[in-house]
Amino acid sequence: MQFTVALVGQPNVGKSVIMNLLTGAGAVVSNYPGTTVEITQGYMEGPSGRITVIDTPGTYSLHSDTEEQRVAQRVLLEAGVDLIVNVADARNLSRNLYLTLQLLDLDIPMVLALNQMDMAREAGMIIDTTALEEKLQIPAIPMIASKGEGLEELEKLIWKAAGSPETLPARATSPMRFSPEIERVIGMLQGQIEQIIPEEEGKHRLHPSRALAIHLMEHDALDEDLFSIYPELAHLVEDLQEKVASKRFQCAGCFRGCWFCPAADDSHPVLPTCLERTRQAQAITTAVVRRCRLEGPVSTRVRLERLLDNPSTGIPILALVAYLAVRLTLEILEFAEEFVPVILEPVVGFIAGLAGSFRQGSLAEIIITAIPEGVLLPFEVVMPTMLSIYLIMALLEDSGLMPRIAVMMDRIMSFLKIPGQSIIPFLLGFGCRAPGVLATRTLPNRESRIVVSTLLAIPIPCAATLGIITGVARAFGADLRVIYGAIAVVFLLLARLVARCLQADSELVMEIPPVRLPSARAVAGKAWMRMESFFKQVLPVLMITGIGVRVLLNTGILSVLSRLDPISAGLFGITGQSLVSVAVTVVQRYAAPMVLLNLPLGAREATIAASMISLSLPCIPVSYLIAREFGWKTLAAIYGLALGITLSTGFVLNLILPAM
Amino acid sequence: MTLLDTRPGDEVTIDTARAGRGAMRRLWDLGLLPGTKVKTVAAHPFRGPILVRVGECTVAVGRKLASRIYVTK
Ligand SMILES: Nc1nc2c(ncn2[C@@H]2O[C@H](COP(=O)(O)OP(=O)(O)OP(=O)(O)O)[C@@H](O)[C@H]2O)c(=O)[nH]1
Ligand SMILES: [Mg+2]
Repeated sequence: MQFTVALVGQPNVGKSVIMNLLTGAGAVVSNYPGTTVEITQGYMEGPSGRITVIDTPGTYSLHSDTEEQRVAQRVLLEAGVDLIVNVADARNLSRNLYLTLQLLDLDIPMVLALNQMDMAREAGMIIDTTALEEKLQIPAIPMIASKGEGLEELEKLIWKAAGSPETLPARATSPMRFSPEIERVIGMLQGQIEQIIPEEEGKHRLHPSRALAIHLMEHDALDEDLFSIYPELAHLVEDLQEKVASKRFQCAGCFRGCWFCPAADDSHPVLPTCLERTRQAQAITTAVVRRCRLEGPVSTRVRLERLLDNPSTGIPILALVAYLAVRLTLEILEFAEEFVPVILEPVVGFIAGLAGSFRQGSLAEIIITAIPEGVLLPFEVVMPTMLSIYLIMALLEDSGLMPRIAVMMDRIMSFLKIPGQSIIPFLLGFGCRAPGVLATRTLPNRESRIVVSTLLAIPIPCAATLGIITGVARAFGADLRVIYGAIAVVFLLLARLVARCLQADSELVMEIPPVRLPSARAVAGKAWMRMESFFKQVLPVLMITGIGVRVLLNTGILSVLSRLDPISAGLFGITGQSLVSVAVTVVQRYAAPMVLLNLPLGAREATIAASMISLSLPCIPVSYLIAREFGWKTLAAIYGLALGITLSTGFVLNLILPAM
Repeated sequence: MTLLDTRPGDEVTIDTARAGRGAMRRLWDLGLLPGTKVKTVAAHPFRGPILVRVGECTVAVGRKLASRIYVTK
């Protein structure tokens, strides 16, 4: 069996940076909690062979009641992890140690990667790593992952563990001891578990009996499964809870009625294990951290952070950033429009020359004449738009501005009854909507996830869509203000409607990461990596659709649709052929405008058609993700909504738009 | 008094909170527990969220929730 290492830790601590350092896997690194939402695997070469490394989504704790926690838990228990590298943020040591203490219960060999030591130092914290190692009884490695510091030591430790697993620090006991009262209950439960659940390699249902006992007491969501298989356990836990409720066990001063205890609700009071774990983490932190006076001038980073976190300066700065972002896009577009044709001229000229050598009207001639358009538009308009959006996105992601925008927008979002956090998936959606849908996993509940995903699937335009719309606008003089206006109106109405139906809860609680000064290299690298999708997906799809539509047009197949003209002209004010473009959105939204470009359209028709396209069915990758995350029914509902919306958009615009 | 009544610069101790399970869960995750000292950093205008500092970490809390977190000075 191959040796497997899992990187586990709270969100935004630097797991993915370490993953990339160890394996070169190219995991996405961003400065906001919840960047990684799916497990990534990579490999590193050790002296004794290949080692599998798993990067996991950040999780604050192992109580399995949110998606990211369940994912983390499953990996640890089911993937046969041989070594846990618990990445912790040194600056927030006490909060991070809560998870560490929970992980230690799992009886999997572990090392602590104490990351972001630079940030801790900046905050005036001096951490005694040796003392921490003693307290936790596991090795602790101070690291500054973003500078590669500490990597060598971590690598050596992993190699050593992989080479001779028997040298792994064996821990007979977890350092987490609860109060005698609780320990007695744990012991009792442990005994029962060992009797009821058959043992496999020293574990019961993949858990050490102690971990499972604690887990049962904390009443995590996993239990339902367990209880259906072992009803005896359910009785046992019920019995226990009754005793707790009747105060046979004393609550150790947790919140009144155990409200704050994450595992508690009205019907399930629990013993305050969570609270004791927190206290233990705090006690360890106090013992190993020394605070020193900060000296020297305040760094640019800190000064910027203060400015941004004060609304009276922060809001104007963010507004300025938004303005600059729009300017940047326009500048890049203008620049591209001037230079791309000059660069591509020889190619286009050559192809045009070729076309002359074919028989008029032959298939080859049709295809050849379609190519120049298929090349010019993507490079002149789509590529620059996507590039500038990706650059802006990378900047927002790496600097820590994204969560700050979410906070600023929370008020507006709460009018729509969606949580402020959803700004992050929305912003990601302007790049590509597929990662946006995945990012909804960090939202508090399923209802909000569906609301946000629906909005992502229908009105939010991705970079490629934006690029193409701009192209259509240029080609036909379509009115961009109308198109964006239609998108905005639909967004607002749809948000109200869906949120009302689903009753999403919109209370904001979000960690705001430190502001970091992003390196130009990281930002450019990230934007460039995403541009790959332009060359691999967008460009070929555009060229193929362009050619395909040309062929359909010239061979007269599409003219069949002219029969629809009376209907579509009456309802939407566009020709029957333009309706094809709306249908094409199913394949790829950004392919649809290619159809339009090949049709003779007026400005008004183009405006209506482009608006309809922008508000149509989600593309295949997004549909797939929605079906996977929420089921086919949700997808079908979204398709129905999208169809209704695109048709009514056409209808309404046709009614209200004056002749252009 | 509640977190909503604090002004930027105030340092308070959390006593209790009343909110839905999901919100409670997140408060717990981010270390906003009973007995914790927090410092209000900023309050966004137009009834926007409140920013508090917990240890070295900044947390944004929506108004509605902030009005249900009880604190003492
Ligand atoms: N100053 C400093 N920044 C770091 C360090 N390690 C990582 N970072 C930054 O911290 C941020 C988060 O890093 P990620 O690797 O994406 O964090 P993660 O743990 O994978 O986060 P999730 O995927 O959200 O759970 C990025 O902006 C990194 O550049 C460090 O040692 N020092
Ligand atoms: Mg990550």
